[in-house]
Parts: sequence; structure tokens; C-alpha cells
Amino acid sequence: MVPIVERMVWNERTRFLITACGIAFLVILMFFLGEVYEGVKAGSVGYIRQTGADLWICQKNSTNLLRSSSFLPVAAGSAIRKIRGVRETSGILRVLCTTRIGGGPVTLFLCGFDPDSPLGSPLSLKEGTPSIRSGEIIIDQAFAAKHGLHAGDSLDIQERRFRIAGICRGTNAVVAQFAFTTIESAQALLGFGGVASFFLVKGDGSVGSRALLDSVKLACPAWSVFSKAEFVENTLTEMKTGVLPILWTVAVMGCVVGVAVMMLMLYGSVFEKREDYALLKALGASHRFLTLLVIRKAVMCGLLGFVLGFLLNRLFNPLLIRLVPELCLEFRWSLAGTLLSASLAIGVLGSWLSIVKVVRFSPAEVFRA
Amino acid sequence: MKTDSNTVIRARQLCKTYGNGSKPPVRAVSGVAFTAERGEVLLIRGPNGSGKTTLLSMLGCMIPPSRGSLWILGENVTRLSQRRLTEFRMKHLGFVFQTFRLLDALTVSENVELPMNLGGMRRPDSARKAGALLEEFGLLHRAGFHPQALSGGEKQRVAVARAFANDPSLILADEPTGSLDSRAGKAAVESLCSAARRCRTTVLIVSHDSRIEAVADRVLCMEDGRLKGGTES
Repeated sequence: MVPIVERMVWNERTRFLITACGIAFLVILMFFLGEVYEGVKAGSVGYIRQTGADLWICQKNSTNLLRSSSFLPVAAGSAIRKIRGVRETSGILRVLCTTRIGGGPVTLFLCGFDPDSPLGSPLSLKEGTPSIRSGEIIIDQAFAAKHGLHAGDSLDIQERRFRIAGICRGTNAVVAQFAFTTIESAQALLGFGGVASFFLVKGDGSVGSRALLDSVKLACPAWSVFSKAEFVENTLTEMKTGVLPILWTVAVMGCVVGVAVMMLMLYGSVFEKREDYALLKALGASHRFLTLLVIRKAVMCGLLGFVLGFLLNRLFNPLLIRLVPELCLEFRWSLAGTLLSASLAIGVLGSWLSIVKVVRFSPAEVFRA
Repeated sequence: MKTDSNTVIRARQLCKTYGNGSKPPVRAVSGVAFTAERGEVLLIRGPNGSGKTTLLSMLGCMIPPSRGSLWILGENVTRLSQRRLTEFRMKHLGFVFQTFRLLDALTVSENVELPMNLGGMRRPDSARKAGALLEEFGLLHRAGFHPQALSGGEKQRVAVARAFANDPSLILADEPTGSLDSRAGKAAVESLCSAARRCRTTVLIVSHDSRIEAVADRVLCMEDGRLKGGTES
């Protein structure tokens, strides 16, 4: 077959390119949303994954790290340590606190941990050491980059001065960044001593993870006990509940705009070239041939839009992160696959109106002088 | 109805009335009857608005007649479905238009190949045949050009070559000299008719141009939707 689709596209390359650019910008927007979502996902549970804990214990009805309050007595740690199969336990205190940088308030997701315990400290450090002392703090790299902070600088949090002892990675939840200090310093900020939000539990390997979970649950009936996987899942669910409806709304609106752009281009093209389509009909082109011709044009446009969008995304993401350090963009090939499918689907959906039009053209239009 | 194996067109009382109910109906073609034989070159002359193009559209299986019957190559085309009509057009009919109707996006050779490809012929074979046709019409040196680079006369000769692409039994030409100067028009029609005679293809030309009469075997006149001098079957 003569390459009629490719030639028709080349003949209308400006219109085609403008439409492909429209799709490309839509793809960039979708990539951005998807990568932010993946970034928030990773940043929200990065700390849970980093700690070496097998189990998380919290107050009854508290389920996750992000959006539930939990207060437990630190003294209960010694009782937990005596449960069969437990090797180590450590309390952490989570405090939402405010610091003032550059005159404005900035929120920090502060976790107080015991530096002498192997549990609870951030493991992925870019600079410094997790062995901090009272009055010292470890901050997330995105927070440090955004506010120009370095190890050795000081940070005032709620009228207390902290020395930045380290910079950690993988703890950027975008809406707020995690920071880490000693549990005593966190208790001082909160204004209560002897309190923890969660107990992290590490098994000694003598019993299986399921048996460990059951025995801790049995020993602590007044509290909620979760495996690490459950706690990660609970936290993700909590995060998704807040973020996903917004992302879906924007994504659906974007797709509708994409379909409209595609429809406009194809309809304009078909209408302008109606005599060419009438000629094809006169020469014996079937409805199936003409339908596939329009769809192929649309799919080519969608594909080009995706490729442009993908390349621009890969090109400009590092620049974007440099400009907005608190952005946490996580690229996933599965996201690229989804967006490729979406681009092609936009093409097919966008061609519907044009196909209806082409099928209705009379071949006799070819006799118009 | 039986048709002679030599008869390519047999039209009986063909009528076409346009109208959608809100406006009074317009009768564009009224009681047209004629036959055309294999290899015959038939000219239909008539003033603007006489119904020539409507008749050509019906003969081209593009619009159905409101009344009457039309047999082409022994097939009652008024009874065929849209899909069968499309196939019929592709296999048996060729077209030449006043404004050439070449696809600007395709090269000259590809324009000639297109009907063959629509008919299922694969690319190397269609390219070979298009080359042979372009050579026959003296356009092989223009095969790789796009229609925009061609003169009017060359474009019309490409259109004629395209009309022969699927070895049709009937070629319908609508004002083939209408957009050409006299020399180019004469050359285009002569090449169309000589090729048709060689292939025993029937050609039906609709035109104002009286100079075409010289190459036609028979001339029919059309006025107010009616044919004068038609052979009643």
C-alpha cells in the first residue's frame, strides 16, 4: 500500500505538530502528576522502610505514621522487650513542629528516636551521622536544599536551637519533610516527658514474623500492632485518600482536553480535505479503510505527542528538581506505559467524530468543480 | 433483464429527484435511457444545470437513481448494497475529473498506484504497473514528482493513467478539458480515447467542449435533465 497516512500527515505537518505538542504537554502534565504521586508515596513511607523494625506498635485505633495521633508510655518499652521473640524495641515520638526560616513558618515532620538503639534512626544519610545528641537534628536533603541549610548550621524550632548534625535522603513527603532528633528533644518540644508515639520492635529470629506479631498482639491487647508491611500499607492508604482524588480529577480533565484537541485537529483536517476523502471513496476505498486511515493519523499524533512529552519530561525533570527542591519526582516505567496507552486511547477517541464525518461523505462530492 | 455481453451501460428511465421535504423537489435527471457498447467513446453534451453531473454520479454508482434501472456490465447496480457498489466501482470503473483530483500528498506514481492498492494489489507489483502506465502516457520522468509540480495537462494525463489503473471496463470523464488550455485539453482527451480503444474500454465523457466531438463515436445531448438522441432500450 502506498504510505498514504504518512504522506497525508507530512502534508499537514504544521497542524499535526501543533496537535502533537498539545498532547506532549498533556503527557508532561500527566508525568508530573504521576511522578509527584510516586514521590509522595516513596517519601511518606521511606522512613518506615528505612528503620529496621519488624513491628510497629501504636495506640489503639491509630493506624499510620502520617495522620493519626498516638501516645504511649516510654516505660512500656521494657515490658515489650520481655515478650518472646523480641530482640530490640525502641520508642519514637512524632511531632509536627514549626520553624521559621526567612521570616515565614515552615512545617517539619519531626521524629524523636533513641540514638543508642539500632531502631528508629534514619539509615540513608547523605551527610553526618545518626549518632546525634540532645539539641542536634538530622534534616531531609530536600528541606536542606530548599532553605540552603548544611550540616553544622543551626535551626530554630519553637524557640529551641538545634544544630544540624546530618542530612538524610528518602524522607521527603512533599507536603512536609521528615526531620530527626533525640526522643528527649522531641519530648521537650511537645512539652511532655516519658511519652512516645510508636514502639518499633525487632525480632530475634527465634520465631517467625507471623508468630512474633501474634505474641506481641497477645501481650499488648490495649494497643494496635502492625507488621512493617501492614504499617506501610496503612500509611500509603492514608496518603492516597488525600491525594488520589485530586490527581484523578486533574488527570481526567487533562484527558478530556487531550481528546478535544485531537478531535479538533482531525475534524478540521477531514473537513478541509473532504474532497480527498470523497476521491478515495470514489476510487473504491471502503469505510473500514477510511476509518483506519483516520485512526492511524490520530494514533501517530498521539504517539508523537507521547514521545515528545516523554523526552521533555526526562530532559527537564532534573532542572525542575533543582528549581523546586522539595519536589520529589519518582519515574516509573509502568507510568510511562500507562501514559503511552492513554496517548493512544486519546488518539482513538479523538478520531471518533472525524470517522463519523468521513463515512457520511458522498463520493459524488468529487464531481464538485 | 438480459444484457448483451458487449453492452457496458444499459440505462432505463433513469430519474433523480433531489429534495428533503422542506423544499420543493428538484428533478435533475428525468427518464434517461441509453446504452453504451464495449470500447465505445460516448460524449454527453449539455449546458450547465442540464443534469450531466447527476447522471455521471449515478453511472459512477455514487448516488442511487430515484427511479429507473441501471445495468453496468450486466449487473443491476441499483440493487447493490453500498459495500458492493464500492467494490464494483473499484473493480470496474475509472474516473477522470475536471479538476484532476490528484492527492497532493502522494507522488505521481503513488497517485496511479492508489486504486490498485485499494483493490488489493501489493506494492512492488502496483509500482511496476504504475510505471508502465506513466510510460504509456509519457509521464515516467515525472513519476517521483508531486502533483503541485506538474502542469495542468500533465496532471490530467496522470488522472487518465490512474483511471486505467485497475483495467476498468468503463471510464467516466467529467469535463476532462475544463481546466486545460486547448492544446493540453486535446492531448489529454486524445490520450484517453486512444488508450481506451486499445484496451476496448468504454469511455463516457461529459463536456461542454465541442472539440471533443471529433474523438467521440457518438454524441448525446442533455437538456433539462433529459437526453436527446439517446438510444431507447
